[in-house]
Amino acid sequence: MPSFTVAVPSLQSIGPIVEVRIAVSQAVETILVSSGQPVPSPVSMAAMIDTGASGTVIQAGVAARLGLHPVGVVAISTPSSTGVLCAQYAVRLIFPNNVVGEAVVIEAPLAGQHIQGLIGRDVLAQSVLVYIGYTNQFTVSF
Amino acid sequence: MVETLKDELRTFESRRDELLGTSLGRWVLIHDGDLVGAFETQADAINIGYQRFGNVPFLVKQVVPVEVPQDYVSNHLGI
Repeated sequence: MPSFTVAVPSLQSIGPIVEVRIAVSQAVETILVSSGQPVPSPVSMAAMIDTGASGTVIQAGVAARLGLHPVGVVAISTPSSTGVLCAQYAVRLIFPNNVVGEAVVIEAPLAGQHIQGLIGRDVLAQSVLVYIGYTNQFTVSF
Repeated sequence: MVETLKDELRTFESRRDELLGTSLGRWVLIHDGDLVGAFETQADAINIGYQRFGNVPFLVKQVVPVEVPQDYVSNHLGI
């Protein structure tokens, strides 16, 4: 079972943050390669595993850096707003230990400066999350 | 970027009642304001969209009577 384990200096205060690379989906990579166009390099970001997020989020601007176009629109609700429309993008998520998955994510501005993405319950729905607070580490298995 | 898909969203809204009768629960693919088809999964519709149109904007949306917003309980999002 593919998995990765991350140790965080203070898991309680920092949260379950993982370095993830965002890449174009396999379908887009095939299109680019077959037409002789360069495949954009993945964009690295610090993302928080967020069980309070129903979907995965990437920082605004990442999709443009990857040359991606929206494939959907969804309404989202946050503590301060309801029914805000956000664009969705099909991407590949590359986690540590070369654990790879594809997801349809929304792009939105993230208020905090220490993270550029949220890994939501859409990804967690395919995984096992083990949060070991007293050792300051967590593991995600797919 | 939502603005990019305004024509597709308009098509989806204008045909929602019809789609609720014919394609409830399925994922529709709309490109350039045209309804391409309805598919079993979101991934199927997206893959067909890329195969037919390439790396361009298109809309894939599930046909449901009431759309439930994605929920974010933390204050990470600046929205």
